Amino acid sequence: MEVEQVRINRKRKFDEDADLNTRLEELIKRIGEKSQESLETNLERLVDILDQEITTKKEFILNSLVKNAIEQPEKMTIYSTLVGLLNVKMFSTGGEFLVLIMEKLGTLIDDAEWRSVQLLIRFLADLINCNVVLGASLLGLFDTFIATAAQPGVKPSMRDFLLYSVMQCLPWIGLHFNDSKDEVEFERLLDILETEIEKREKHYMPSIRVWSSDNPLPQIEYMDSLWLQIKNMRNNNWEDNWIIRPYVAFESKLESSLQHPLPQFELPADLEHTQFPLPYVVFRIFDTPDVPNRAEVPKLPRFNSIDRFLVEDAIMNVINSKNLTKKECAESLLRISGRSSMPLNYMLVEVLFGGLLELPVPRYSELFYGSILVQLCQLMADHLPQVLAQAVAYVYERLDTMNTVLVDRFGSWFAYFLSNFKYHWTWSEWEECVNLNRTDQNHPKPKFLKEVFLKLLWLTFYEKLKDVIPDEFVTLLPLKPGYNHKFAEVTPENNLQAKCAKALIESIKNKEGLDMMLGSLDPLPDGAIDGRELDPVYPEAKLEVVVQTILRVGCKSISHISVALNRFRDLIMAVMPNQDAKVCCLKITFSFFKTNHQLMCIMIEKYLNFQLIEPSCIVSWIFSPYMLPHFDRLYLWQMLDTTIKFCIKRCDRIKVELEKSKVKLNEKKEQEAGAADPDIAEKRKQLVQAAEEAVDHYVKLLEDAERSQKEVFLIVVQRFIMILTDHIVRSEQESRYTQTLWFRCTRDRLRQTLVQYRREVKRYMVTLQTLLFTPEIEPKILECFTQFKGYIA
Amino acid sequence: MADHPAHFHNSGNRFRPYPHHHRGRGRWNSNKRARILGPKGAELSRYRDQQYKGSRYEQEQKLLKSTTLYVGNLSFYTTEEQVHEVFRQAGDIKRIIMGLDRLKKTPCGFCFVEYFDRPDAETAVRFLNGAKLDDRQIRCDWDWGFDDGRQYGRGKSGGQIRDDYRQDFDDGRGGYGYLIQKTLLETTNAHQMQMPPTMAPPASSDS
Repeated sequence: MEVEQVRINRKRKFDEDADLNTRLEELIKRIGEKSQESLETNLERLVDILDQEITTKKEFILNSLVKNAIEQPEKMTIYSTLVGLLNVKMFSTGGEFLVLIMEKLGTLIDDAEWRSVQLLIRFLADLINCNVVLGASLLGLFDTFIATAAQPGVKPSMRDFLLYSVMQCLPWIGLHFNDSKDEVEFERLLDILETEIEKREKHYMPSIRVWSSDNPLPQIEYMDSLWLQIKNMRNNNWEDNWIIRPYVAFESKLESSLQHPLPQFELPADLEHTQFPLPYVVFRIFDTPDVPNRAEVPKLPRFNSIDRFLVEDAIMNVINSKNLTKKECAESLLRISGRSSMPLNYMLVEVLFGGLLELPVPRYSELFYGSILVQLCQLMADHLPQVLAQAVAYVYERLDTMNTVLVDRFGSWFAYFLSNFKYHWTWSEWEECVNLNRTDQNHPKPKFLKEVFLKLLWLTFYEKLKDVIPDEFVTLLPLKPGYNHKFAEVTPENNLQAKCAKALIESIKNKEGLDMMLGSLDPLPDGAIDGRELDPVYPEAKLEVVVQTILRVGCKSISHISVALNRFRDLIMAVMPNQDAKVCCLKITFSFFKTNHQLMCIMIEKYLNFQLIEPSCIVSWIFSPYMLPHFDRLYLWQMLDTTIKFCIKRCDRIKVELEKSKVKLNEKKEQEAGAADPDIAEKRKQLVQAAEEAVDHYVKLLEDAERSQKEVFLIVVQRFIMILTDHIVRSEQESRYTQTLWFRCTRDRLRQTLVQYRREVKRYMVTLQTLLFTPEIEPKILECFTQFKGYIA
Repeated sequence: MADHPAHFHNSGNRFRPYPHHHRGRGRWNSNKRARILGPKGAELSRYRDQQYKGSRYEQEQKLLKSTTLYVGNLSFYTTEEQVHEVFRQAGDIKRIIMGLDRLKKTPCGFCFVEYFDRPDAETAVRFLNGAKLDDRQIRCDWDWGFDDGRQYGRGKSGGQIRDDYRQDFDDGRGGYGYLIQKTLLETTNAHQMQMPPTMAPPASSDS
C-alpha cells in the first residue's frame, strides 16, 4: 500500500515537471480572460507563481511573455503590468527581459515581420508605464528611428515604416510623458515627427484611393490619418476611451522599483534592400452622425479621433491572427464587441469593407471578407445586418467617384452576399436606376446593378433571377444565356460554309480521322469568306466552320467543352496557323457565346490551359476595336485578369520545376563522383546527362514563358496608352470634355494593372520608360507611371 | 434585409450528410479526440472513403497533398457553370466532375472540384464550406483525387446513399428519399396517392 503510494507520488511529480512548461504557458496565455476574480487578483496570483518558478524557468517565462504580448496585442497592457510587477519583485529580471526584447526585435526585423516589429516596439514603449524602462532611454531609441528616417536617400517605404513605428506607440505613452521630467524632450520629438510626416510626398495617392472625392468623408493616407488623430489626442491631454490600463491599479507598487535603461540597439545596416509595407488609405464610410442618436447606442467617435484608430487597430489584430478560420475569427470579433463603450457594429463593417476594398488587392482573399461578413450577420443578427445595409447604401450613393476596379469588386462581393441570403434586398430603394438607365446607359448606378445582376445570373440561373428581382428592373437584367450557332438557321444548300459544317458534323459522328475531317472542308477557300486579302493569310472560312462546329458539339457544359477541345485539338490547330487566326478564333467564340459571357470567360481559361491560344493573342483581342463596345464590362476585365495571371503562374510553376531539376542534378552529380565500379559510373554518368537535359529543358521553358509574359505586359500597357491618347486627341479636336467617366475608368484600369502586378512590372521599368511612357505622351497618361514609381519607392 | 435560418450548421467537421445510418461506403470516425490533420482552417474532416484501395494512413497522406475537393449537398439542378462561378473565387479550377446517378446518368447532388494549386484548394475548404449555392448550404471536404467511376452515386437508387435513406422531403434532391418513395409506391395505389411534384432533371450530361 505504502509502496504503491510512493510510486504514484513519484509518477505525479514526474508528470508535473513535464507539464510545468505547458501549465505556465497556459497561465500566461489565459491571463485577462473572463474570470470570477478581478484582473488585479489574478495578476497578483500569477506574479507569485512566476516569481516562484523564475529561478529555474526564467528563459521560458520571459520568452512566453514576449510571445503572448505580440500574439495577443489586445492584452498587451496586461503583459506589461505583469513585467512591471516582476520587476518590482526581482529587479534583475526586468533588465534581462529588456535584453531579450531587443534581441527579439532584431530577429523580427531580419525576418521582415513588420507587424510584429511594431507590436513589439509598442510593448516596449508601454513598459515605461510600468516603471520598467527609463523614459529618456525610450525617447533615445525613438530619436534613432526618426533620425534614420530623416537621412537623405532613405527610401520612402523604409522612412514611413520607421516613423509609423514611433507614431503608433504614442497613444499608449503620451499620458505618461505629459507631465514627466522628460516632457520637453517628448515635445521636441513630436515636433520633429510632425515635420518629417508633413514633408513626405504622396504622388501615388490616386492609385490607391477608393474614392476620388473627399465628400462627405475625407479619405486620408494611413500616416496622415494617424498623425491627425494623435494631434487631436495631444490637444485632449492624451486621453482615450479604449485602452485598458491595468497598471494604474498597481501604481504605488510599481513606483517602488527602479527603471532600466534600454540596451543599445542599432538598426541593421542593409535595410535598403528589404521590402517594407506598402502605403494605403484609411477607409472611411461612417462618421458620428451616422449612428442613431439614442441613449442606449454608444456614440461613434469622430473620424479624426484616436479612439477610431485604437478600435480599428484591435479589429485588425484579430483579423491578422485569425484569418485562416472564419468561425474563430468571427467569434473573436464578436468578443471585442462585448465592450459596450463603442458602436462596434459600425466599426466592424467599416474595417471589413475597408479590407475588401483595399487597393491594389485585399490583404486576405475576397472570400475571407465575404464569409466573415456572412458569419457576422448570423452571429450579430440584431446589430449587424442593418449597418451593413447602410454601408452598402452609402457605397451605392458614391459609385460615381469610386475607383472602377473597386466598383467591380464590390459588385462581385454583393452578388456573393445576396446568394448567401436568398437574394433578399430592399430593391425598391434602387428603382431610380431604371430611369437613369433610360437617359444614360453608362450612368454608374444602373451600370453597377447590371453587373450585379449578371454576377447573380452566373451564381444561379435565369428563371431564378427573374423570380427574385422585381419586374421593374427587367431592363437591367442580362439576356437569357444561350449560344448563337451561325449555321443553325442557314439552309446548307445556299451556303457553302453551312454545307461544310454539316459534312464536318457527319465526319465527327462517324469518328473519322483528321484528314477526313479536314477533307470535309475542302470546298472552302484557304482565305477569307468574302475573298478579302488577309495578311498573313489563314483559312478564315474553314476556321469559322471548325470553331462553330466544335463549340456546338461541346456547348452543353464546361466538361463537354473541355472534352471537345481536347479531342479536336489537332483539327483546330490545323486551321489556326498564325496569331491573326487565333485572334479570329476568339472573335468567332465570342460571337458564339454572345449571350453567355460566363462561358466566354471559361473559354479563355480553356484556350490558355490547353495551350491553344497564346496569352498575347488574347490580350490583342481584348484591346481590339471589335471589343470596344464591351470595354466597360466586368467580364472583359475578368478575361484580362485571367490571362495575365496565367502568364505569371506559368512562370512561377516552371521556376519551381527548374529548382527541383537543379537539386536532382546535384544529387546525381554527387552520386557519380562516389561511384568506383566503371559500369556503375557509366550508368550514373548517363543519369547526370539526363538530369542536365532536364535542367536545360526547364531553362528554355522559363525563357519562353518569361518572354511571353513580358510581351503581354508590354501589349497591355501599349494598348492602354493608345486607347487613352486616342480619346484625348479626339475630345480635343471636337472640343469636348476630356475627363469623361469612360476616360477615368480606363485610366483606373491602367493604374491598377501597374500597381496590382508591381512585382512583374518592376522588371520591365526600363523598357516601359524608354518605349512607352516617353516624355512626349499625354501628361494625363504619363502621370499614371509617375504615380506608380512613387508607390513602389 | 437578410435571412437567418434557424438551423445553420457551420462546422464542416461535425456536419454529417447522412446521420441516420452507417451503411455508406465511407466512414465517419466517431472518435472525437482523433488527431486533427491538415493546415489551420482547412483540416481534414473525420470522414474517410472506405472505397479507397490502400491503408488509412496512405489515404490521409493523399488527402493532405490533394488539390481536389468533394462538394456535397448540392441541388440536383445546380449546374457545372454555377459550381465554377462559386469555386472560381478561391482560385484557378482545373476541372469539375459532376456526380451522376449511376443508372439515370443525371446529376445527383455532389461534385468534385480540382484546383491547379493546393493553396487555392485550401482557401476553398476554409471559406466555401458552409456557403450557399442555390440556397443550399454546401459541404466542402478534401478528396484524395478523382478516379474514373467515382463520379457515380453509390446508393441503391443509383444516386447517393444519403438519398436512399433520407426521411425528409427535399425538393432540390428529388423529393422524398428513395426507400420512402419505393415503400409509398408499393403500399399505396399510385393513383390515389398524391406524390409531391418533382421537377424533371436537366438533360443528361455524361459524355
